[in-house]
Amino acid sequence: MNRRLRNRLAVTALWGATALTVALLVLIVAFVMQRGLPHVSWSFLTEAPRRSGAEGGIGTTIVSTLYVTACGVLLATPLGLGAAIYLAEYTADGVLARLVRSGTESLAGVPSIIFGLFGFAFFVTTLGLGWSILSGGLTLAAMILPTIIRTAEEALRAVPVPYRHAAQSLGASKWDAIRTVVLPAAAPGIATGVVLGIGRAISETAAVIFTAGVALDMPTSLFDSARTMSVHFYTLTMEGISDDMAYGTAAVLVVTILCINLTAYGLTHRLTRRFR
Amino acid sequence: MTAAPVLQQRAHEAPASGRGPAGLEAEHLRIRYGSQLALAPLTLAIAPGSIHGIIGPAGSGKTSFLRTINLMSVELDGATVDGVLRVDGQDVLDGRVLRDASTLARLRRDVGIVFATPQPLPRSIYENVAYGPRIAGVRDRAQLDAIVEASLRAAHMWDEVSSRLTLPGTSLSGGQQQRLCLARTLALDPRIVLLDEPCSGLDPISTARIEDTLRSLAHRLTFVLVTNSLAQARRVADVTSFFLSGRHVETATTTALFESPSQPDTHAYLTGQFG
Repeated sequence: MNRRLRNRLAVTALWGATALTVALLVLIVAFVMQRGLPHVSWSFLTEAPRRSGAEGGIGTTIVSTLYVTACGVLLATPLGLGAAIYLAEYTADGVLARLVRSGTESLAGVPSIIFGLFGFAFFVTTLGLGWSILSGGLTLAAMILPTIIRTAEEALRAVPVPYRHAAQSLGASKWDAIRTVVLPAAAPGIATGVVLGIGRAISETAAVIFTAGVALDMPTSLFDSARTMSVHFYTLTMEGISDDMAYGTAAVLVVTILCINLTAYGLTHRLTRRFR
Repeated sequence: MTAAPVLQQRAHEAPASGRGPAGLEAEHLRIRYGSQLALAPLTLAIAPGSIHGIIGPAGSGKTSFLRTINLMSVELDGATVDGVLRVDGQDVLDGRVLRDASTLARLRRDVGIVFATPQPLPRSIYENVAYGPRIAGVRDRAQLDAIVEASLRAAHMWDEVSSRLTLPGTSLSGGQQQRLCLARTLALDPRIVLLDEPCSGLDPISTARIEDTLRSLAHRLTFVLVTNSLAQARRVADVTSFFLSGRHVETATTTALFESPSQPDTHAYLTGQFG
């Protein structure tokens, strides 16, 4: 085989892989939309479910999803960012740093149902938090922590070393340099990590079904049980309650995730262009 | 067009020292990286208000020496340093400077540095110059405006950039970026400025502008200029040192060094027999 032919084959194969990926995504979204969108209406979005979700809307599950996700992300972001800063800026590549890093990576590979079981055993039972938004949020935080740590650490490491040296040569302490130069420069990357975390959290089923529970009532406190959209979808389908309502829920979930990603791109773009 | 009067009024700065050029004395100064010797014990004095050139081939230890003067080699590059290094009569190697963040910050404000590659921070032109004063605690906008203008004027670039201070520093040309980095250092009203091959990536016109700036500021500041360009040392340095393989070979007035070097190694280097 001559080189030109091989080159053409390679390009075709790569193009094919890309096209197939995009096609798959479009197919899934289109399928969900086609089955689900006809059932989505203003009242579907705002009304509470009736008769276990066979009738009414999904209003309470949307609110529950927001609460549980927000709780998880708000807990995981400061923790993950702190760990990332420590790993990227304050450790030489020693045994401890490698240990923490490989631990983080193992954590990322743990199936979410394990997080669910852990959350149930620890937060729900041992700490006595019960099925609640707090238990669900804590479990999600543990689950998305590796994503946030890893992307934030990479973003911090990608900031050129000369920036830090320039800042420190101008009388900035190491922490001043991190705060005023490194973090702003890494912000788009960090934001991307947080958004990836939000995406994982919002669509997570296994980790929240055992921890946040399945109550359909409107949650009013952190200690209320709350059913998220993905758990609602799972329940509706598994228990054969209503396929129409299930697909309606799925459509809303998919649109939400698309919106979050679009917002994230916009945000990242603005942060990249921002010069304090 | 002096920057000093405005800058000296800075509230956080004790006026007792009466800013102005500071001298530098190294005694048996030795620099190592791990077990690797970067600079054999060196004894050298640099007079206040002079432009002191340091020449020598790569690996001669000249940059290690330069980055030790403001302790960047020790803090950031992992160097081990012993001996004595006095900046304005005070030994900066006695450990207290490195251990105490505010003393170290004061040293960095007294001893500025311009790197070989222009490295504006990812901020506007204005914020690049205002960065050091802001970190030092200057909050007053009018005062910052005055410092920025005076520093950019001192670096001979106010007229070029005064209308676009809000543009990113990286939007400037390479030569302008390097002068911005000089202005950023001058904003701290330093007493010594270290220059690490500041013109190595610049065209002759940009180089000439930087050299003009150095000449116009000499006597108000002490410059230590590490350069790979013999011609540059000859053009601007009052006194020149020659380093070779981590060893200080000799120091003399620039004219004397170039016209009648006392060491055979210096003669060989100057006549292009190596390096």
